[in-house]
Amino acid sequence: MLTFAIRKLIILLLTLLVVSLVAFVVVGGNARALRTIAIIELGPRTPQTEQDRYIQRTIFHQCEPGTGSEVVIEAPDDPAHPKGFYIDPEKCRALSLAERYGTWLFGFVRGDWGDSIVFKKHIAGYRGVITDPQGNQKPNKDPWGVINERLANTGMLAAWVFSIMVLLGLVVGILAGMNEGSIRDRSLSVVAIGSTSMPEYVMGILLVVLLAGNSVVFAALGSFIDFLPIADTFLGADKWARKSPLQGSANLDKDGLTFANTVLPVAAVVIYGFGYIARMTRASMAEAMGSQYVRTAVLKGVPRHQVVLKHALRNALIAPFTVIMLQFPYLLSGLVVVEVIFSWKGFGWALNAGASNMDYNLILACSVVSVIVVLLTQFISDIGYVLLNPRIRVA
Amino acid sequence: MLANLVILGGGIASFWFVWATLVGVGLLLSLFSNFTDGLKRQPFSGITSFSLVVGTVGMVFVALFSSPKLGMATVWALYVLWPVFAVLAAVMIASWAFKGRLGLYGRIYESPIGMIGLGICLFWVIAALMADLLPLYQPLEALSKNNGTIVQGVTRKFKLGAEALNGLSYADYVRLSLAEAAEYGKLYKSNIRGGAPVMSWVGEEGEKLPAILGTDKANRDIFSRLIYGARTVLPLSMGATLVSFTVGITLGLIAGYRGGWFDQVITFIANAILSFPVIVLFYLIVLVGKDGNLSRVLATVIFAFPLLLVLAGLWGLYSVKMGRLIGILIIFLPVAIFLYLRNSWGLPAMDGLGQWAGATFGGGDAEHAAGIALAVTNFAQMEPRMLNVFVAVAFSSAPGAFRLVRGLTLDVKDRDYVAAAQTRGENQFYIMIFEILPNVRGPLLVDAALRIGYTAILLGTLGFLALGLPQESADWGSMIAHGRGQLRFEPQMAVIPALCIVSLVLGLNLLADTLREQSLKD
Repeated sequence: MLTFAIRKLIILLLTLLVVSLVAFVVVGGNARALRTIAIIELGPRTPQTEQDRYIQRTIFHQCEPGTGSEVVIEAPDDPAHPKGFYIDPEKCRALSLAERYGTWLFGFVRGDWGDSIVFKKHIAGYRGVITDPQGNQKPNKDPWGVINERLANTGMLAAWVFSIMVLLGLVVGILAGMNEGSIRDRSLSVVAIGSTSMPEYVMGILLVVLLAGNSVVFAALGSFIDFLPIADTFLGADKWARKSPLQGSANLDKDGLTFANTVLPVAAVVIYGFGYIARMTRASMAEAMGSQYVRTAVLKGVPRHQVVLKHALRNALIAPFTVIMLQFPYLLSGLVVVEVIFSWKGFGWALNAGASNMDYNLILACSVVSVIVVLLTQFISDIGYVLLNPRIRVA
Repeated sequence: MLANLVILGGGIASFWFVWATLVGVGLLLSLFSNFTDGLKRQPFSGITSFSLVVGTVGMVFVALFSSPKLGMATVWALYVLWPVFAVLAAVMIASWAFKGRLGLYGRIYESPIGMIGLGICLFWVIAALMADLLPLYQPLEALSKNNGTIVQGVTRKFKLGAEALNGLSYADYVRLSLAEAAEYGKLYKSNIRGGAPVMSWVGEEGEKLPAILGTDKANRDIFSRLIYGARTVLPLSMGATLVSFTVGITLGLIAGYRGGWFDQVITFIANAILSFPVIVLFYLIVLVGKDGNLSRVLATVIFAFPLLLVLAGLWGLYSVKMGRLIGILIIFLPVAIFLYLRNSWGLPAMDGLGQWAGATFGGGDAEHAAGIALAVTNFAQMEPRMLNVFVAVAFSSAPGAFRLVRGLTLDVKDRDYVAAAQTRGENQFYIMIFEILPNVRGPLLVDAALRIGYTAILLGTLGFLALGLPQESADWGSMIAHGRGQLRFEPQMAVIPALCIVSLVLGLNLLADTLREQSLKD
């Protein structure tokens, strides 16, 4: 078991290395991203040659900080070198890809994830010394970086989503799989299929239209209740709240996590996600209910609830466990969409903001963090599968 | 007032009609379904009756308090789309009549749920094919500004009094009601937000279509864009699924059949790709990779696989008949390589072909034909931004297809017919492509149907996040993103495209479910 876990862990680290290298190459070599950084650091009206010099000096070369490490060519003699700035080869050293990646990786492991352009802040809560783009070193006094606070917000959302989604999926799947082919099974299966065809952005929009703020349903409810003769007596005229208590966009900084701003985003992800879990659970449960040992238990005269809960369910839950853990990448994707819809200021919202502004440190950090989360869940899924299933023994 | 009452009545009636049809069909399906063999049929369980009650109460609210315009819009939509429904009915009735001879496709018609799923999918396919024949606006055509004049004219006539209604036909009466509804809608919809009021008249009577669902910010007809949207969504999702399946089949067959280091390396790569959440992958490929030629590189890799698969098949078939193989390759290779280069690199560019054809053969027709020929040879590289999206979607779903094919191959490769082929001394590519692949086609078909739906969802996500697809593109995701700002005032702008995606995906899911059940019956 230990060797199995260690082997899985080594593969995990290898995957992480490869993936982060790919992400680094894709993001770090991107011309537009680098140009954006240069423009933001130097100001929008700096000439292009100066931006080039900045990019060259800070990203592709290691220069002595504070020195004039570039050569200025005023009147070029050969057409291959037009007027402009060039890196002084004596004071600067070109960095290879491996060196750049190594520097980045070393910083990343220590918690120095660079600065975010959008949020104008250090990305991770790193307490050590950081180097700013001019090459000066200074202590980082902000222990609460962009990613930390965003991840905390997303974590709250994800915890609610995950617990409700898994519970709902399992219950629906078990109820449907208990008697395969019954009307209850058919209707629950249709519900599950419907659920898997309602992506988060659709569900989010529908929920906002129907239930949030001055929504259709609550306005209708309000006018309906006004219309009833009891309205005057019991509620007072026009006292019925025509405004929904639920919010279509969350203001986490002000309100924190409240019922009003959490219900709709959670519902949007849960409705898309639970159907898949339910279908997997149903298939596994139906298989267990048709197996020999369940038939034996029934013939032996064991009460039905005991057959279902003790004999079938335990075996039926092994497969859904893997499925649930492997749902994590999709859950993360869904969270990104939902956070954009409900302006839930979490990880996905930050990723979206960073990506629309070519904030390449942030994109890189978010990609690697999400990959780490996914790989960890896969690791847990592998280990848990072996632990749960007594029929599998690994060396 | 009377007109409003009529409209209200029409709206409520159409809503109740739709609701009753849905519930009735559902009840019939659950009562007469044949899937309950051998098991005791339960009476209505708590959940079923609960959903019925909730559905009824919800529909009462919707019917009573939503705007009657929605009901009339449904009627108009049915009227405009009747050729699509006619063709759909013809296709489905013909297939139903010959279902015994149509193999797996025919057996879909044995399940009511499968027929519903297939009907939805076919509806979108036929609508996409027939979009040019329907009385629709072009997806990018902005309606003229003074499209309200007719409305005002008719309304003025209406306001003359009840005697003006004498001698009008029923059709005129409906038109007047529509005009009244449009006028009514204008009271609370200002044109500053963009968007003509829902269902305004746009021209001479009988000539043009009212904007059934209103117009968007750029004053384009939403309903027409919805139907044309199928032309973007369906080819992209089907094409991307096809390409990702050829990648998955080629690599999965070899990895599953041969095993060894190749298997390990490819599985590792697939797992690495799968460990990205899809959206992060999209951000990397579409947004960040836009300038870095990343998608071009990916296209070069991905589009090679169809070519490789065909080559492997030819090699498997004719490895012992070299002469014939060479003969086929002489014809096949230039065409295939030409198509491959056209689609991955856009080479040769052939921009002058249209002009040349026009000059040589004369007239715009030849130029038009040349343009079509160019587009046909360049089916994947629609334009750089579309290629980005296409490649991103295909790339992200290829590892899943690979895993599936590999697992199926591992399952099947020890069967007797494979052993028999090995004993006959068949080429290994022959065994993979002509022995193993046909025998795993059932699960592959099911997965393909599911994956097309999933790809449609992904395309919607891309459009929704404004990644990659051109902003003015008529795909449903972009339309949702476009209408999201007006959610409170014009909910139909975002909700109806969303429902289009849901319907397509639901149809594909139902279809896949039925395909799975029917192929398990063997």
